[in-house]
Amino acid sequence: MAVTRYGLTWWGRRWIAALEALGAAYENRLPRGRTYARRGAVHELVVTPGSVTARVHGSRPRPYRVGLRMPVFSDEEWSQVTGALAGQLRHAAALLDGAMPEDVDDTLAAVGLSLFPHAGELATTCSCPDVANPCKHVAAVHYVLAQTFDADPFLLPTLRGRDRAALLAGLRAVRSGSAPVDAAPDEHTGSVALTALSAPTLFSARGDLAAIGAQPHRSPDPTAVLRRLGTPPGFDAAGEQALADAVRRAAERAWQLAAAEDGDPLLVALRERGSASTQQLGEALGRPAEEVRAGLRALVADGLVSRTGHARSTRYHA
Amino acid sequence: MQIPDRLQATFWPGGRVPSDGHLALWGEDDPAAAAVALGLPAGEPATFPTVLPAGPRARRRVVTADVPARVVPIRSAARALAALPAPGSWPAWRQPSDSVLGWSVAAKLALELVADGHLAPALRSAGPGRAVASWRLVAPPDGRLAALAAALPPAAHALRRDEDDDTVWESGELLAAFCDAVADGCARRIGPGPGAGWPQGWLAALTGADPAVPIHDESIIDECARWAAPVGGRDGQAVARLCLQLHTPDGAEPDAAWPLDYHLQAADDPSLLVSAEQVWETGASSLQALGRRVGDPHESLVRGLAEAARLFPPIDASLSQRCPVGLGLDPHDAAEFLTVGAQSLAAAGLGVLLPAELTAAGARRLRARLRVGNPVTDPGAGITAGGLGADQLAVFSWEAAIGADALTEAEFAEIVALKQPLVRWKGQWVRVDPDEMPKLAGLVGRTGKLSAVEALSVALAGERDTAELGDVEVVADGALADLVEQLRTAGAGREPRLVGIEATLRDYQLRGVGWLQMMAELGLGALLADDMGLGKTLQTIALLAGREGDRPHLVVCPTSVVGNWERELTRFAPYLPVVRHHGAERAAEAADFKAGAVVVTSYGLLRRDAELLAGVDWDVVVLDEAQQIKNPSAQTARKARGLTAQARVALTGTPVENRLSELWSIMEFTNPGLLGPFARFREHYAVPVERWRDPDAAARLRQIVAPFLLRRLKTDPGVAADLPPKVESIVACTLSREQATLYQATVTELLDDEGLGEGIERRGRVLKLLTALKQICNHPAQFLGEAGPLRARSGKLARVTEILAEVLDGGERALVFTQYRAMGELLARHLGAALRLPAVPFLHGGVDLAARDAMVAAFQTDDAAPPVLLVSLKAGGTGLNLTRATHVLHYDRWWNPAVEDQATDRAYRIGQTRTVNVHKLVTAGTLEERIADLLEQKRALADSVVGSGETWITELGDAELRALVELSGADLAEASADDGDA
Repeated sequence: MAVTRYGLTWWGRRWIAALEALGAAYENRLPRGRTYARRGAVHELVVTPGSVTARVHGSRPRPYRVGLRMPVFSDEEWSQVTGALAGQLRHAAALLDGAMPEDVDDTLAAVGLSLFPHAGELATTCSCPDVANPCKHVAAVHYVLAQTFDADPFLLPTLRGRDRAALLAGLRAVRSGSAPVDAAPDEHTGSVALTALSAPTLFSARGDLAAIGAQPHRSPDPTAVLRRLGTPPGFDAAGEQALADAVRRAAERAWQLAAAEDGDPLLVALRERGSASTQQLGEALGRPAEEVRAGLRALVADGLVSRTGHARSTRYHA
Repeated sequence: MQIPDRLQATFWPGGRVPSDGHLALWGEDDPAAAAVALGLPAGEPATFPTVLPAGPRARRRVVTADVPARVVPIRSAARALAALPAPGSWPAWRQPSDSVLGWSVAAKLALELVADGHLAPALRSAGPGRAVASWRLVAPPDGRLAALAAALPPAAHALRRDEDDDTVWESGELLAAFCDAVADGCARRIGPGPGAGWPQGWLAALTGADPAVPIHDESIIDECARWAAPVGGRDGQAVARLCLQLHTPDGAEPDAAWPLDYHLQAADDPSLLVSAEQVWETGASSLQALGRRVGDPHESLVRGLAEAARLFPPIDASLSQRCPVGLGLDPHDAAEFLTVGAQSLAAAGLGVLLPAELTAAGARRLRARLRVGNPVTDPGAGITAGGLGADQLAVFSWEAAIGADALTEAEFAEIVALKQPLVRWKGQWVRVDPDEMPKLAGLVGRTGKLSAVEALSVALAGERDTAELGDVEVVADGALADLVEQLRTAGAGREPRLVGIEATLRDYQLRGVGWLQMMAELGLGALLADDMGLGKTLQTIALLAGREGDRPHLVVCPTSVVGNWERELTRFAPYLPVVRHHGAERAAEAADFKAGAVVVTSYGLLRRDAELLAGVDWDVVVLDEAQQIKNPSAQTARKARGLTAQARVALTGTPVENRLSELWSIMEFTNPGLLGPFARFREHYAVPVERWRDPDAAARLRQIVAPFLLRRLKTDPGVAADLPPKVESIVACTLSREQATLYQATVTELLDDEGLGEGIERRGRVLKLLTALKQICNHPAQFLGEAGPLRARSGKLARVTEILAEVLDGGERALVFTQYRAMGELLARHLGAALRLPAVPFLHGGVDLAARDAMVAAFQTDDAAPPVLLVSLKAGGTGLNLTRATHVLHYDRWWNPAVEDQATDRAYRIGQTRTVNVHKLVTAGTLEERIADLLEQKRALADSVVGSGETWITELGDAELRALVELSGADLAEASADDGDA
């Protein structure tokens, strides 16, 4: 997959294409916005039902305000859209996995609608003095918007009037054949106020720690989770193999840490001496140098042993 | 504000990547020392921003505080935390704080998940053109991390947020950061080296030391986030998951469809199932089922099905439907689901339910197993005669089996010929793995040999690790099956043969003797691990006395109990000749050990006279306090294994089932080879059982070990009913060389050189002599008025330390009485260090009333209080109620049974529900032992004869006095320090 232009995903590119289809003015002006967008000139991009707002730093110290309006679907239209999307679970599955369903155009075309703008639907404004429409600021916003859509496919429906929660509720309603029910708000926060802590219980477990079992084991196939994700972006077979190897090594390392000897003989021997070379330790333990070196590498990685010098003069310190 | 008195742990994230985070250890005066005492790294000094109780006036309020701490890098922290025993397996007085235990559980859990591959790479922006690569943990939705986050004590996440002073980290967030740090730490610094471009640059940054990735286009960051999104959910939010349930077809025709039903399953309670149909009917964002609220039911099901379709493609068809509730699988897809599909779906965190008749437990699978049977060397002799020598062999053969039934060659061929993955066999569905069949066909009928001990081991375990198929089921055949059966039933109902024993054995002791005799006759080793005080010595003596061999017996024990063994042997089996192989005058030739005699020696001499002892053909070799050979590679253990014997017995009172390297070492003496090589044993049993209480590993180990291990607890119903409420025993200890020299010199000086004189003067001198000798027996340091050193100078101190260590191991509590305040103080200091107790309280006349009450209250009610209380006989001999003690030790004797009984009654009184063991320590060969014998012989007369304490001794004539105090020459002993390997 190419990573050289905005609009990586098919729907991001589709957005740009939809704009380009709006007329020659867009087709010519859009590339000018790209430089601005790359410079990071676009700020405070907000997508709400029917509109997008943003600020763009241009030649003047005050940023320009850019606005973009697009008609939202009516309730009637939305019920057609959700009805069509709910026809196949894979549409909802794709959205939940962060992707616009690939055949969304065809699916919605069946009910005569499109999430993407068509002629006459898009109106843009900019506070710059440039008379051209779209100006380069508007063009820059379009590019950043495409990028934003890439990251969150629910933003397109949001622009058309239904955000993630509302769309999911609509899909549920179609499946269950009942009226939509709003989702509960997410109340998660990342911190606890000091006033919520109590001195007498500060040091006491709030539940039964012994009841939480953990049984590390050597996994025969530690790459199952990785496989669930498929090929990472821009990876070839060799890269994918290398990533799987990294996961395998990490899994093996975790097992070794979990089952590590209380007194690793290598570490014990090194601690007795303070510092030593691979060869000295190999002789002391009666183990081949290669094995000792591998063991030392692991101890260095764990932060238990440090290393000085290199090649033949390498010494290890406990 | 007050620093907590126990070491606390808090994860402290920071740096560019998760693994730059540290574990902060804080609390106590010296957190570094406290960390090391727990086995954690000492780390580097730092100042930790946390909170502390405001103080006694503001009862509930906490205030911000910056406390001295030590910080440990994540990998060494995870390694050390994971090595701590599981919560719940610590004695209360040694248990670390809940925050340390909490992070220990977290480390084990995070390592389990990383070892299982639950990690994913991530990429985040670090300014224009740059990104940082790291790993994060992908938590499966099993609810464990959420449960841990909810259980952590506030101190475990009491790290103040950088931006303000009003908040600390939330436990779930900090736990997630810790897990990411462990994942990142495991994956980093083991990479192939630097790389450039995409994806090599990312790979190098993920696995190397430098996490920076130069990027041309920042959109790759979002793209990577999108790629990893399917495993992005944090545990605790996703409480429900897709569960796939396979059913057997209704009809018996081979092409019938196998229904696969979809459900939603609570991740933390697999029994909570809601059918997909019911889920689709719910329009709400949560659904109520079986009294619980399940969030996002539709979305969980949709995502689950999409994920399942990627792992098991036939499910993809359901994604084209609006409300799929299930699928019909053709037999080949069903077989695929049963083998690879179910496995990868379960590995990905989805629920899978298989028809009971087809699960591993149901074993309705055509499989290979091993039949292990009679030895080939001498079929007539049976596997047991003459012990399980390495020269004896057993045969095994591969066979095909379904359920418990072995298949005939024709049946096997018939099933293979069907070439179907699922076949009906005797009215039930059976799985047949077509890929496995050629291998099975090649194995079935093949035979091989294995050593007798390995045959017994795999027959007991019921499985064997094979090169061909990994772990394979084992069935025992013929004589081996009989032996396994015999061992399993532990010689139930067997009458012990009692010969030459002058003691009345309790019922459980008779059972123990019967078992020891059976094991010895089978030529198998026995580990008798009864609780202390149940009479292991007596049961062993009964075994020795009943043997009819033409060889001598050997008892190896710590130096401190050599005297006790002699004493008990003479007392309970007076016809058994006893040879002390100890001291300078010990035998130098094997010929000195006559058939039928019991040779008693110490571990120190086992090493020193190894050649002599290994050259003797022993009948029974007994290792007392067998935990002495707990270190398998130490010399003592190796020398013990080098002894030749018809039967081997190991005795220990410590709970060996919790210390598995010790168990391995002892079993390697009693039954060499039974538990396999140590490295394998450690990986398969010791680590899983000790560190994470793996019930399967524990059960498998029990299967193998149980027949060779007899351990009765005082609380076992069959034993408790048999035990009197109070068991008194005289414990004979051995003098150290220093004690013996001092003792001899004192006797000579006061009796010979100075003379005792007459009248009042004589009385004073006799009392002075008695006091001096008693102090020497107690400890040379007490006699000499020194502060130390204390180790290895007193046989009595060594013995008391051993007894108390055993009492503590068994989770019991003890009182130690002494009449000397100086000795009490020496004991307090020594026991604290030797038993790794924070402090040992000493209740004596100088302690004020309030402090005494506090000591008694702590001993009686506080689980975290030291389990040993030292009491001065004068200050605490009466009045106190200390019924939590089940052991009472009289370190020195008052020679007045009434006074001693009164002291014993602090524990043995109303309110005491368990048996109280009373240990009266006497030093063998000294006046202590002789007076004890006198008292024992004349217990009935004791009150009238010696009721006035020690004054009666002053009335004795010179000759009688000399006979009483003089050291018997043979008791000149080796230093107790001989015993350890250190």
